[in-house]
Amino acid sequence: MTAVPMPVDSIAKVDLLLGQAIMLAPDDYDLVSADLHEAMGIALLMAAQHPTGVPGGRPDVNQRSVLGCVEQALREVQSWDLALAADLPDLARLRVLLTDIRRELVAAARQG
Amino acid sequence: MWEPVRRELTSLHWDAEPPLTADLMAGWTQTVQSLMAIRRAIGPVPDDDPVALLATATKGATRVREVRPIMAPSLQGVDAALADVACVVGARPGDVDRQEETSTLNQVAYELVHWVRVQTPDDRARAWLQAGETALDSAIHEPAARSTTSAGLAGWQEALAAVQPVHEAPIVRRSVTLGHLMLLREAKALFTHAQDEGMLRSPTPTPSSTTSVNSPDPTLRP
Repeated sequence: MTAVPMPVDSIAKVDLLLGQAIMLAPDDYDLVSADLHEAMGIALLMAAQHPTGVPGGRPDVNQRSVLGCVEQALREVQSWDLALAADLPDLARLRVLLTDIRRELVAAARQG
Repeated sequence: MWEPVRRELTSLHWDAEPPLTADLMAGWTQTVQSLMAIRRAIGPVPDDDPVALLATATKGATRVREVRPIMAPSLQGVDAALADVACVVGARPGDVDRQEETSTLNQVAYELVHWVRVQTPDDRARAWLQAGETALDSAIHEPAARSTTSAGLAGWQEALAAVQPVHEAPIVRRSVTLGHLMLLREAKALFTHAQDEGMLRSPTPTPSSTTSVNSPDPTLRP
C-alpha cells in the first residue's frame, strides 16, 4: 500500500530477539511475561507475512538477558518508518508493548 | 513526513534526563490539539472519529477534580513535530489517498495516549485515557463503518466528559444512570431487530441443547 520499503530483515531480527527473550525469561507468569508473549505473537505474525530472503542468524551473543533482548528489539522497532502503519496494523501495539516491558524490567532491576 | 515524530517518540522513551513539564495533563491537552489539527487537515472529522473520541476522553481526564499536577517529560518536541506534519498534510492536494495518513495518525495517537496513561497516577484520569486508547485500538484493528449507534455513543461520551466536574451531584448521577438505562434498552431493541431480520447468525446448537431430559435421544429408541 505504501511506498516505504518493508524492513523484512529487521522484522526477522525482532522475531529472533523476542524468541530469545522468551527462552531466557523465568517461567513465572506475570504481566511482563504476558506482554512478552503478546509481543512475540505480533513479531511472529509479521515475520510470517513479511519473510526475509536472508537466512536468520542468532541474535548478538551479548544478548544474554531478557532486558538486553527487549532493548535491542525496541531499537529495531523504533527505527521503522511510522508510515508503515497502514501495512503493519500492530506496529504501534508492538512499540507500546516493548516499551512497557522494558520499563517494568528496568524498574525490577533497580529494586534488585 | 513522519520522521521527526518518530524521533521525538523514541527520545520520549529513551531520554535519561528529559526536560520535565510541571503538568502532564496541560501538555497532553496541547498534544491532542496538535493531533486534531492533523486529523482536520486530512478531512472532515465526525464525532465518532477515534481522534475526536480521544479529544473527548482527554477533556474528561482533565476535568477530574483534585488531580495534582503530574511531573513528566515534556511533550513540546512531539507537539512541534506534529505541527509540521499538519502543515504538510494540509498543503497536499485533496485527491490524495488519505488512508495511509489516517492509519499513521491513529497509531501515533495510540502510542502517545498509552504513554500518558502510564505516567498518570490518578485512577479516574487513567480510566478516561483508557477510553481514548480503546477507541484508537478499535479503529486500528477493527475499523467499522459509521452508524447512528457509534455517533450516539460519541455524543454520550461527550456529555459524560462535560458533566465530569460535577459527576457526584445527585441529579447528575441520576441522569447518567437513566441515560445508561436508555442506552441498554436501545441496544437490546437493536439486537432483537437484527435477530428478527436474520442479520445475526444463530448460535450452533450443541448436542446437550437439543436433547432434554424429558425427550430422550431418539437413537436409543427400539
